[in-house]
Amino acid sequence: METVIRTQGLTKRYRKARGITDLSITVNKGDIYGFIGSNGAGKSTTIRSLLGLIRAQSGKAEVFGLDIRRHKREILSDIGYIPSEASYYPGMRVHDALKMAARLRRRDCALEARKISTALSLDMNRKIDELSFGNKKKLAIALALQHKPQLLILDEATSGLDPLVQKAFWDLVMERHRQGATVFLSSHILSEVQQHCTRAAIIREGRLVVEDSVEALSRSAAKRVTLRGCDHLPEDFPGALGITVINRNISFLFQGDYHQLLRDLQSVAFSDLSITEPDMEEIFLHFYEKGGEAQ
Amino acid sequence: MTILRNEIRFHWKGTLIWSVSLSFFAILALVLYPQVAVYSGFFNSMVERMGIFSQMFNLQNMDVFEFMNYYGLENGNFIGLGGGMFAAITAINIVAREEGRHTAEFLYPHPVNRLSVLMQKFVAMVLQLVAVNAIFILAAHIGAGLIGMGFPQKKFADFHLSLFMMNLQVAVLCFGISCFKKRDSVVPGLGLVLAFYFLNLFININREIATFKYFTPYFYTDIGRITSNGGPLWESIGLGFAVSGAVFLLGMAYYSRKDLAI
Repeated sequence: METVIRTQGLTKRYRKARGITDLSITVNKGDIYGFIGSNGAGKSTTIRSLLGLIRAQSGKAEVFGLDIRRHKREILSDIGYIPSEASYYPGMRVHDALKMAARLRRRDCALEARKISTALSLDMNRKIDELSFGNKKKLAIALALQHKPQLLILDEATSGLDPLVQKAFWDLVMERHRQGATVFLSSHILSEVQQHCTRAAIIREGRLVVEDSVEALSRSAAKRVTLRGCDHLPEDFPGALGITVINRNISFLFQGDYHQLLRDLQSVAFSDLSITEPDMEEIFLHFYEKGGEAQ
Repeated sequence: MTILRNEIRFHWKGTLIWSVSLSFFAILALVLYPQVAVYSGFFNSMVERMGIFSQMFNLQNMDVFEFMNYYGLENGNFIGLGGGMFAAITAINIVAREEGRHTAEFLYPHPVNRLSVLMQKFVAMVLQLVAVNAIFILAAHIGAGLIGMGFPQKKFADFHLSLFMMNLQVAVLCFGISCFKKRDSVVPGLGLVLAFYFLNLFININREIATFKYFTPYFYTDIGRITSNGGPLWESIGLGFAVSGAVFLLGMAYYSRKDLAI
């Protein structure tokens, strides 16, 4: 399978901040890759290293099979990047920014820019200084997509967007994905990762905790156990985490031997039992609480 | 050329405002010349009695009211100090503001070479300096024409060439410093220009610190020195540019590898 992004032992330390340590990830062509971590975990440092904005102290970062240090221009010409908070030159109008970006890429993107702006309801004649945060984000989306890149790097791309625009955004991204683009998505919105991503990595304190398909991650994590018609669970119930009781329904995460779980549940009164896959947030918390032990 | 176009587009108004302001004072000073010249004998004797102040502005042994000397002293200050400040303000942030205003995150994920960005910004900066100096020179000719006077061509050319070199030296130095900066602030540039200006005044008073003449570009823009030298002081200009050029090259080398703060 063709690899689009590969980092090997990538390490970047700052004087005060943590950065990333020995980070090795692989994003294959056609992946929609979720990159998940809390604030300061190292997501932005990783993205900036991939874009050549910062230089790692050690390790290797390759995009499209090329070293980012030596082939930066070649690599960047086929990347679309949406920053978490976009900044623009003062006094520009939306169409000025789109034109400038197209000129920097030496491409004519006028048709595509108009198409995307229409899809996102973005007025191309508005002054950027007068745009709301959400509209500035829409412009960032148009800038990232107008040249039809092979790799999209999205850093908290949907934050600040209303649900309708989020949908329009994902429609555009999925259309690009169907056309062959690979997507690298850094996000706090775990449901978004679960809904759209095929593979994901969790990063914690600058180190990779786990990297796998979203499906495998769901399997490897604890299961959500729900007991209906149940008031009470014995204290120190083995393997139960985060017990919640709502309206005679007891719910908890379980990881361990399921035969033992069923034996332990024989002493508990309940009317119904379900064991389901946890959602992405639970997976994330599971790996964060465990600190990667579950690998 | 996209960066160059962008720089010019966003700074032409500021350049025009500086040019018009400085030119206004150039014309005003020239229009006042006939009235001031009437009292030249009185003013010249007063300048002789001014002692340290006369020395500070290098006025001794000079007919202050000879037309070119008058122009050099009056307008040398406008385009000298004003132009120096414009050069410093323009150059000190030209690179740093990409990080200071976070536009680096817009610009550098595009397939651009950092050195090419710097060179385009440098050319834009030089064009702005050329525009300010050219408009000022044009205004000087208009002012002289209004009072029916003309400039001695060689002396005028030598003087303005020296002033332009001074503006350029300040700009080159500040551009180099801008490559090391991460924040958007004009204070270091303005501080540097004022330090250069006052250093020249101190050198004029105290000849024992004359060695420092190579540290300030204002030394070689003095109309009296240009006149007595018979042309621009190329030794001072060369040394000044050697230092500024070194800072410029170091800044470029540093910027091409630095981690961008965004």
